[in-house]
Amino acid sequence: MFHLHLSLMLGVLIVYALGTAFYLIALKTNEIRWGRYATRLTYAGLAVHTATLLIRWYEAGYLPITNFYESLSFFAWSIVVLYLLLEYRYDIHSLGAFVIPIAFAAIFYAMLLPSEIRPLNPLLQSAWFKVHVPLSFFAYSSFAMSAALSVMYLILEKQIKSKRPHAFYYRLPSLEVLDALSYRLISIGFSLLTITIIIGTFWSLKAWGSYWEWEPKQTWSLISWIIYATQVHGRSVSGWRGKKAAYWSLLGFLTIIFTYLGVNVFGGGLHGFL
Amino acid sequence: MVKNRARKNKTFWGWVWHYCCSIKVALTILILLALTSIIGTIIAQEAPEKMFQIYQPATANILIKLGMNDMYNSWWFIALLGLFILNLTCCTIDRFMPTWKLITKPKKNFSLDCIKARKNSDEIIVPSINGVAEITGIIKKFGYHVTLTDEHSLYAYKGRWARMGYIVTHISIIMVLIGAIMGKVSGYKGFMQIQEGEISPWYWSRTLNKAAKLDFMLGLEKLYMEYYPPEFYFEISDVRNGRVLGKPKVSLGEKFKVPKTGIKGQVVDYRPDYRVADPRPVAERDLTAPPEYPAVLVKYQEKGRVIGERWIFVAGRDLLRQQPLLPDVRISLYNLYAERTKDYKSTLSVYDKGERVLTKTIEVNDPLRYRGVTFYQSSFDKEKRVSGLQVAHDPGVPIVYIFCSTMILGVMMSFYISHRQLWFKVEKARQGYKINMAGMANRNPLGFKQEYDKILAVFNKRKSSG
Repeated sequence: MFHLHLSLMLGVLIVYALGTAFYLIALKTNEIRWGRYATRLTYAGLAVHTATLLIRWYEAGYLPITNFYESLSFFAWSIVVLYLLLEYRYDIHSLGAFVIPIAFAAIFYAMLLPSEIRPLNPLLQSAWFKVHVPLSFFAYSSFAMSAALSVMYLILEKQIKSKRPHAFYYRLPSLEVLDALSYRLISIGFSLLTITIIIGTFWSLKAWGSYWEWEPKQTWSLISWIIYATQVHGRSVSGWRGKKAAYWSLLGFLTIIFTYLGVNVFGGGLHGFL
Repeated sequence: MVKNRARKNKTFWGWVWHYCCSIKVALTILILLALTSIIGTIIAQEAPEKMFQIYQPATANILIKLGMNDMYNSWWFIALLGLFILNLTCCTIDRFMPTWKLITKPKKNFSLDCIKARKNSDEIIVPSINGVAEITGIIKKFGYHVTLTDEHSLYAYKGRWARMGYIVTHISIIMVLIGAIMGKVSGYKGFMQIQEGEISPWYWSRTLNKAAKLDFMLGLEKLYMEYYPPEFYFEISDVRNGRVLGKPKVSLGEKFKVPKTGIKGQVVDYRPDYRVADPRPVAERDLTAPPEYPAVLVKYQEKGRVIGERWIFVAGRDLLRQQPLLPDVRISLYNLYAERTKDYKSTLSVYDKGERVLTKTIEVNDPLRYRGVTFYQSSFDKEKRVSGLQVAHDPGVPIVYIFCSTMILGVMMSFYISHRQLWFKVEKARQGYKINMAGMANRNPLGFKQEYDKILAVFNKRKSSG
């Protein structure tokens, strides 16, 4: 069973790699059929990935987001789910070329880490765990996608300003759509992050006896929250748009990366297990 | 509104109010809070004595003077939070009335030119439609409330209360912070270590930094510990070329095959901390070695007949200098998981005025509460039979709980519902009606555009079918 899991993960990795390649080809050639292949591949990858997660869940007997390996896999999964939803809703294939590589990189990194199933820490034997952790990853994915859109915005903006725009300028959505969509994802991510933090305080109160401990992960998630809160207000009150909003979204995503990875690298705190 | 504010600014209090309501000031304070919060994750947050062990005396002195060692409780951080509460309150009050007006008294009627000038605006001539009444029916199907503003004009809206979302969120944040301050001012936190069979009112107060007494007594009746079954990870390799032949993972009593030999091994016993006195003189001992050597006892069988037993140590050091039993393969133990805690629980009793009033078994994630004091399971000492408990009294908790919940509500209102408005001008044309339509949403323009296009499509369909 253990090897089955790893082979499935390898399969997922390959499919996402192919998906990335197809999205890039679609962007380069501007042929719709490549985009369609890429979408189909991504759906197939998601199906295998979901099966992998379910098998892992069954084998371990708990929601498999309890260590770095499992969390990276779930992060990739949530990004792909969110991307496919967005592609279905707004019909933008070009985003895939920027987002599916993130899922690929997360799985690739995960494959380098120890993947054995370990017994569940008593702290995580709580219903809050099943809400807090998945929600946080959906928040991270929304921010990741918003950052990808901001990168697209900045590239496109540069292309437009240069007198001779590159061919793919014509294949990206308009600046206005990129800006609006990026902000939409920030709204989703920000609301999910707020709920994640609040549920975290409820759990923390039950488990550690205090709803706020100022431990590194909590503090950094608050810092990310403040960065995005600033952007939300900047937009609704002072009308931050375009480049400024794009840079700010990238800054926000940097703090999110630090919340997710940096805190684990530089010192555990109470969140040390993940 | 603007004129009014400009006049207010001329007086001193007008000027103060202006700054208190400034969103720029609010965002500056927020970013300052974020930046200062980073300091606390870099500089050690420890008691003064410990700070001197970590930093140079001069540095430690400065850090302690600035309150950097307990940054989140330092006067300047609390002051910054206080300023933030003040600013957020003013901002919310200042913007309440305009928001209220947008909800209850929106601009319902625009001139035709105004409608045409809007970003989402279209003109359609629909031959087969029965005037205003039928248009109302169509828009109502999209969940809009529709009012007739004059005989040619329609106003439709939905989700208007979403505009209250940010007010709900802001009030919630203010109340959560007030609840947190209440907890800081009149609550306490501490730690209690209690031995099995002991009854005591004493705990170590982190708030006072000394031992303190509860108003009642707490007794530990029993301490339970549950462990996961042990697991052993072996690596079997060929002695000649070092090639790995297999990596069996087994539990106690489980058999595993030794490749190439037809022999089976079985773990029959294990020591999580095997110690053998090193017989060599001190100078020759390996001092870098870990002090504990976990080991397992493996029994080998060939065709059901036992051929011998050997201890296998983690990290491959054979402390017993045993004769090898299987010369062709090398079996090493690279991981031994024993005594992994599955759960620990404490049965606690509360004694108030000499009487036992309450007994409960607590565990991680399931504390005991009595007279506003909560006891959380946080650690244990197996050998001394001692249970470690977090002690907390926080009168702000109910407020924090309630307003955290309303904050979720406010955020959902703000981000998932949008106030959408449509304006229509309907005129009789030569054939049917000419409709001028315009729309606006306070957020999610892409989502609104999709709905707007759907409504437009309904009218366009009428056009072709007629």
